[in-house]
Amino acid sequence: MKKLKIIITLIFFGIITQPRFCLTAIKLIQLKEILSIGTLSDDLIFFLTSVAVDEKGFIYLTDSMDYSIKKFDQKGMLIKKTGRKGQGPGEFLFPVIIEYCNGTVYIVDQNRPGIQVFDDNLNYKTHVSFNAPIFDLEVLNNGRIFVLSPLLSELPPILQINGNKSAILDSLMENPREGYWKSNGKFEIDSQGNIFFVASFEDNIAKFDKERKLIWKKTLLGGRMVKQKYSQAAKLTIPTEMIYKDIAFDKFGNIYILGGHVAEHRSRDVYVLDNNGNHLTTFMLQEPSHFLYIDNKNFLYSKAAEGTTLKKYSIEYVEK
Amino acid sequence: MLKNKIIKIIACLIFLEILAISFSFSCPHDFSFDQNRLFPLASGKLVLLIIHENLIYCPLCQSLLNDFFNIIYSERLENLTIGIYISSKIDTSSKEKEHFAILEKQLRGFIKGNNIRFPVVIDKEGLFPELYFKDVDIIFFNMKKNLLRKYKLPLSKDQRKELISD
Repeated sequence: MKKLKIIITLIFFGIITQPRFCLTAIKLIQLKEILSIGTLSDDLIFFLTSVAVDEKGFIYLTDSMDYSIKKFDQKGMLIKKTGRKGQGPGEFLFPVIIEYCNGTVYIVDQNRPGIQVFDDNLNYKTHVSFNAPIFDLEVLNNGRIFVLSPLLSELPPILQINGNKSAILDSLMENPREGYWKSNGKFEIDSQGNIFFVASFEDNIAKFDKERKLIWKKTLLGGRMVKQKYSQAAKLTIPTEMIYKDIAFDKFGNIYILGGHVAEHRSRDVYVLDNNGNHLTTFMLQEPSHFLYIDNKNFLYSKAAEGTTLKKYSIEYVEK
Repeated sequence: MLKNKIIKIIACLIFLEILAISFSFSCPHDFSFDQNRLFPLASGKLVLLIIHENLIYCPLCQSLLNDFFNIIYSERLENLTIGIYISSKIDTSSKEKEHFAILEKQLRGFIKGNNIRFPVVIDKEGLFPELYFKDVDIIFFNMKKNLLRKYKLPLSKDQRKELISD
């Protein structure tokens, strides 16, 4: 009887101390829409390219059609819009990446080198130089800025850019090599400094430690290759479709990977992996998106209506 | 076949002319009487700029358009210019009706963001995509000189001179 009591007590404590959603126990993920910003009749969002959310739930986004960045409150009301077409401070040609960290907003423009920095009221602050295209950006709490660029010789091609300038120049290739695009993609860095990389143009998902040592590598689509064509202008063979489009973490450390053109549901399938790269489940966005963002309160954001609408969802986990 | 095409284009031009006129009269902020704005064809000249939807999502293509916008504004041709916004996807199905509404919205953003100062209409009838895919970005008419020319962007220096002088 005493033994039984001990076993029951152990089981009880075992249950309550177990993580709420044991990573391997997720059977299904469902999204519940809780906010939609931008309708076909208003002029709030014309062509959404990226989104970031601060600790209070304020939403920042880049709109490439009217060359602006916009800030919305938690209810979806536009608080501020800034920017116009141009190449001066606070101006844009095609803003494509936005990142928020510690009261600062970082913007990458596809047609302008470097990163423009704004405060959280969207006032222009400064510019961070980087003379190569930037495909993804991550700013850590300690202010370190990491970029992913096709002209970096590092593998994965990710580099901290607000550090040693000569190291940056050493890492930059003068010209893109044939097949350089294979190492292009998106990345996230976790609190331990591990880098999670997802390739845009080949079936390759990988985790590296902070010393860039490969921890694991994964393929989800049987090593599928993308279509390619020879570009006369670039004098290189370039891909014409994408395998994976984006990567994000949820609050449990699960990895969400947005599939691209070759996914079963084009630009809608989201593959969920645990921290060790095990595939847990796949769910589908309501509409195709080219990005996926999960904020610190575990809300998921994606685009809808071809980029004229931003959707915010709560993530609902169904256990096995 | 060619005759039918020309008739279609002329019909479309008449439609655009009516539209441009109605646009001008309905604009409450434009009180100045501008003969060209009200009757672009009356001045004998018309510049039709075909803008494919893909152009406005592609930064490099946008710079082609911007260069042409600069010519239009520097030579004060905005009163003689009409933009035709085309999409390969427009048809009458309900899904495409939504796509059309999205196109309209994105075009509003593009007009706003680029401060476009000439009317732009969406080619709902699908008259212009064929011309666009035959490398025609600009159609220039000068009725007084009985002239009709087509151009592909970017314009060469000679083409630019030709367009301005004609």
